[in-house]
Amino acid sequence: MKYTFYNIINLLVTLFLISLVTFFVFNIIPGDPALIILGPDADINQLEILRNQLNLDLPLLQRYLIWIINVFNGNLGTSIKFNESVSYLINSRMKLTLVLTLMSIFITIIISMFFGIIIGRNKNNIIGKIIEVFCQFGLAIPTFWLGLILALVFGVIFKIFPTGGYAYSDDTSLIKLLFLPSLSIAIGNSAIIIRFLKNSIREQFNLDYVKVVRSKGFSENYILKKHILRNTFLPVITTIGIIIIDTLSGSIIIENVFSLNGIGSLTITAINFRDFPLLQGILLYISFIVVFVNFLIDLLYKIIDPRIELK
Amino acid sequence: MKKRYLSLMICFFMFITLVGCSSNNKETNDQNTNIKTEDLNNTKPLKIAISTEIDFLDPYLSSASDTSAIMDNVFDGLTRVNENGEIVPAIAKDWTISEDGLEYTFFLNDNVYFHNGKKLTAEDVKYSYYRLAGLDNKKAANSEYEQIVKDVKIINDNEVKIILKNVDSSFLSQTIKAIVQKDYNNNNSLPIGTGPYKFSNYEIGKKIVLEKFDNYYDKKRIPKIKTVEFLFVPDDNAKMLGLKSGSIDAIDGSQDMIKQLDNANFDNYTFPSNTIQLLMFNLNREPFNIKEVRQAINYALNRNAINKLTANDKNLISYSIVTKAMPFWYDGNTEYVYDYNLKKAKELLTQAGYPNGFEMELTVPSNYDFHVNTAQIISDELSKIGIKVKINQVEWGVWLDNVYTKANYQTTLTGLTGKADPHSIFRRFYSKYSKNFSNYNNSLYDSYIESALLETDVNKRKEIYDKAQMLLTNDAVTACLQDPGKSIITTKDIKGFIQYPISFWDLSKLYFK
Repeated sequence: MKYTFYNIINLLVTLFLISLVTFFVFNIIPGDPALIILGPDADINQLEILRNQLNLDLPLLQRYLIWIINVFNGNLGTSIKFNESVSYLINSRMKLTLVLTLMSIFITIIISMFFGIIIGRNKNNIIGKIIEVFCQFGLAIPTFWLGLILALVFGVIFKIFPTGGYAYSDDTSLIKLLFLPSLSIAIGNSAIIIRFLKNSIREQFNLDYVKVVRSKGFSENYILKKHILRNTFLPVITTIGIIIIDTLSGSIIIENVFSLNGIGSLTITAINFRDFPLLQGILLYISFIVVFVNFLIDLLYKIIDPRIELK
Repeated sequence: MKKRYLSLMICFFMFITLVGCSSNNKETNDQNTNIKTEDLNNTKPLKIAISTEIDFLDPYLSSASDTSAIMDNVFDGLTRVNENGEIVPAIAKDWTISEDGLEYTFFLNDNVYFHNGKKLTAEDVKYSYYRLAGLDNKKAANSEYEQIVKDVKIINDNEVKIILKNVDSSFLSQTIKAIVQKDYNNNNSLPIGTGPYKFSNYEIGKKIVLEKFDNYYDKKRIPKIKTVEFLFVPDDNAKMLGLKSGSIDAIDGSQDMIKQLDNANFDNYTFPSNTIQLLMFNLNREPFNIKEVRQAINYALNRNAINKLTANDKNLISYSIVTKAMPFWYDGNTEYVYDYNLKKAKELLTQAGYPNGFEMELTVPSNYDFHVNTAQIISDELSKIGIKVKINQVEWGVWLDNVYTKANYQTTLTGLTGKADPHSIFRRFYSKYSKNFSNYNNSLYDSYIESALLETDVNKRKEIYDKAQMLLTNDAVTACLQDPGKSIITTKDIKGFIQYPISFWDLSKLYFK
């Protein structure tokens, strides 16, 4: 209870500070949203009408205060660029980002658990070495390049999967559409987790409790399954938490490569168009995700290792 | 234990194949059924991927040429621009201009219907121009119309008279502006026009869909394809992949993209875009206030080399601010003023007092690869006469604010977009024009621009504009480089693309082969 309360206070303070920073940054960077939306060919009257419509003629401090008051009333305001409510825009992009995150995490877990355990068990033999080399590749390859290659191989040559493009596909095939993007996100992430798992498993194998269990005559498989895995999960879950936060707050690069419209591309648009309410809304959403996911992970810790106390 | 992991792996691969296979089945089905062209036009939506999202659906709010390129299929004006840049009838089947050049009488087609079924009358025309010019006691939707239009009078249901404040030879080209329905204020969410296509739906960040309008008045422009989708795909690679995989039928592209494609499977069209890419000097800044310095830079730039590495089409090179997209107005004599001549450039620099050159800052908007690439070549070219170019890449919003609005720059690369009438491009250097960010101030030039507007004889007007072009060139107000050109890449299945001097996807001519 106390823990939840602490988390909520933490969330509120974080949100306030972030909105304050955004406000200051917006004060510094040059750029007139009306001119950016309408472009250099805009007529003076068009600009004036638009500025008036969007309340851009008010000073930013006043717009910020209005925004804060609105937020307390549960209203995130209206986007400058899209002339649509911010909560609607974030919601409409959420679906894609959420599915992308879930799929990539799912694939990451499958790949990394499978290979991580193999590599942990096969300490010094050839299989372990091969997997380790692949891990190095996974870490070194930039996601955008991997995404392009996957799109080229599976989309253009074999035509198994769409090359992305939320714009040119139906909603029904969302899973299919997001498979290649999720895979390209997952491969890099799996490499990280496999390394974590490997180190963690090897460390555990050398600990005294394993020696005790081993001396009792249990098989290596049994030791791994019943004793070691549970202990290795702790650092892995922290990493997965970071990955979830990362993907949920928008994979800007992958979204661009596969022309998907998730939170990432929305963020870029908000910045490019100096869309103050929209960017504030997105940052609010991201900070909420960060705090919330961390909260969930703390709970998971407790489940995996009951000795941990939440403070 | 091992078996369990094995089964997990099998599950995983089955998942991949399952997800994958479903697409294969669908495609073979499509291939098996032999669909005739007629049906194809009716059943298959044409998918065009474009880089930029539209700004506003309402034609009076929108100003982006990429938007009007699409929405001109939905909205018709009294007149329209044809592929040769001439003003031809649209809603108005004919018009007369009074002797004094102040009264324009338009005779409307009798069978023009809005997409909601209402018949267009003179009332709608009056309403549209009242809104544009602010004659309805509200703020004028567009200051250009506010300055020109004095009043609009309805003569009968099919006849409207527009009265101007003063003679303006560019006015006719402004009558291409969309006519909207009287008292209909919802054009920004559900646009209703009289064009060959009607608006179907718009998904933010995804696409805009247009449907054929069955009741279109101009029988020569009846569309063949039933549904057209414009998809917003900002990433060039994503566009190319979409085209190659067959999910897109056409894309707006660049020379770079054409080079990468296998020409056997795709058609490509490149034509001038009526935009002039130029190296702009801020004439209020030293040393660009000195004519010789600007001329030296003009002599030192090898247009052929720049063109070869960027637009890659010699026809696009232009030494005048009017591009070859407007052949009637383009003055070919400007081509012979600045031949590539480093020696001459050096001499001029010495004459101006900079024998060893100087350092110059070139501000470029970073989101335009085309300008960024050109800047690098310019930097290389100018180093040959001792000018050290410092390229300063700024974000688009910053560029608009610092360079375009506040004229706080030394030199910049930009593209000025022309419209149907040359006045829109010439006024960029008119000293009283608010957006003249070159800060050129020459009373002779101003007088040319003013008299050209008053001149109703088109040939005499052309003479004046020729003089103005030569004056700009001799004064080396800018260094005109080229028209960046516009490229469209399509699959072999789709035919009928026509080039226009303005930005316009003429959907009515397209069909599936």
